[in-house]
Amino acid sequence: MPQFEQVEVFHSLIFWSLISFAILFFLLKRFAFPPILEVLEERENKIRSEIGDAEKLRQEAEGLKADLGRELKNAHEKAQTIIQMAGDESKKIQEKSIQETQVKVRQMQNDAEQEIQITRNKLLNEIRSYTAALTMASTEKVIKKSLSDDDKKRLIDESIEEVLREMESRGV
Amino acid sequence: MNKGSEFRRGLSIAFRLGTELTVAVMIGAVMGYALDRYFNSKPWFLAAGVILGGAAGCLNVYRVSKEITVENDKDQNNGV
Amino acid sequence: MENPLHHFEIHPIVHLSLMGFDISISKAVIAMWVGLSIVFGLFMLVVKSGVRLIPGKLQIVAEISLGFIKDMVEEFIGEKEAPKYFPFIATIFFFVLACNLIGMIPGSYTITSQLVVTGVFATGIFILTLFIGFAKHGLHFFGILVPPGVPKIMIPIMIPIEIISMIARPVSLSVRLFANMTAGHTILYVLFGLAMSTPLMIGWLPFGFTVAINGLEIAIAFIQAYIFTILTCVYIGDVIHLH
Repeated sequence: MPQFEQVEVFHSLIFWSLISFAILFFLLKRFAFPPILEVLEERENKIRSEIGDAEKLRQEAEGLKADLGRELKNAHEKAQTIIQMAGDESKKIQEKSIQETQVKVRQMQNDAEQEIQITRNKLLNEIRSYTAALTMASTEKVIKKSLSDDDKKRLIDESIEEVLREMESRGV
Repeated sequence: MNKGSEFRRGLSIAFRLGTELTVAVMIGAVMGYALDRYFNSKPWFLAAGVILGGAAGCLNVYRVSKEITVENDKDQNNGV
Repeated sequence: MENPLHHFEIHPIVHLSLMGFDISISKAVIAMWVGLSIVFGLFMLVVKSGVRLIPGKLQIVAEISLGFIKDMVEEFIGEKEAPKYFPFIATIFFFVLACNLIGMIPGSYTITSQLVVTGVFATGIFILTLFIGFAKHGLHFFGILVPPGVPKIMIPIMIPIEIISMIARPVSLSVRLFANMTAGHTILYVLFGLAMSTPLMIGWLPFGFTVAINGLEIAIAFIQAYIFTILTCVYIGDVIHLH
């Protein structure tokens, strides 16, 4: 293996590799590492602070969200009560109108019944009066033969009087 | 710790362990041989050197493996 | 077929010497320079075009790789000490990665396939960890040789074992990188040689393998750079925290 046998080149290899390493070390340490490390650090700080800000914002947003949710719930409840109230109102109105109609109908019924009653009474009275007159007339004819003239005259007068009175009382 | 770096760590340990053991035995042997030459006591130091070297190699491997378990514990604690 | 290890040989291009040592510049050194220049050039491209809070594509790549290394350093070394060690560890990562990747270009050279180079870096890191350990803990640092919870009778046996395992660290660090790079390149070389030396009817098979293994090699280049870096972090972290 030349790596073990070529002893004569060892000096140069050791010398140059150490020298090169030292030069690279100083150059990198002087010029390359500081700015890059600085920017790494800076970014880390920035990211950290931004994460902090984001966290704060997130909390704020969460608070806002909770507020909004609460408000939304309130609004919902309000709407619900309004709907409830409207429903109650409409039901009340409905009931009222039904009641009114019922009252009206009942009244109309009463009126109609009354009218019917009145008419019926009137008719009954009329029929009764006619019947009375008729009965009287027929009775008169039967009785006329057996009575004296004086009695006749008195009975007729009485009947007339009666009929007249009747008719007067009825307003005919 | 992400998966890629775990993989690299594992690879580096795999590459380390092989030489760790051999080299320790070699060192023990070389030191024993040198002592034998110095004290003219062949082959006792060489034999002792090989045994001690093997022990040292085992110790190194043991330390590496302990390092792995410590790492794993740390990861698990971090993970949970 | 010629020796597949032949292409690891190094031939000086510019002959130089310093205080009696031969420090000739060879293909390996030039390839390393090209790789490192590309790394530095890309970083400069990012920096010169202005780093912005909203990054461009190249800046994203730079940020991801640096962020990745930063996380690694913070995990193993600790957040307090991390900024001190970050440039060093990031440089190690990019150095190894650039050297590994530049070798994938045919005709160039992977300097990390030289054991001396990986050895020097591993030894350097080892000495650094010792240095940090003594600076941080003084003489208590020897306590690293005795793991906690070991009975007193075991200590005479544990100390040699711990010494061996301490020394095994830089050795395994360097051998791993060197072996992976050498093996990968050798396989590629052999397969490619097969593809070239057989008739087209059979030759497409090893050629296809070459393409597949090339992809694998790129993955290994990244993984090895990653392992080299993470182990550096682990070793430094160990001496800082001392058990």
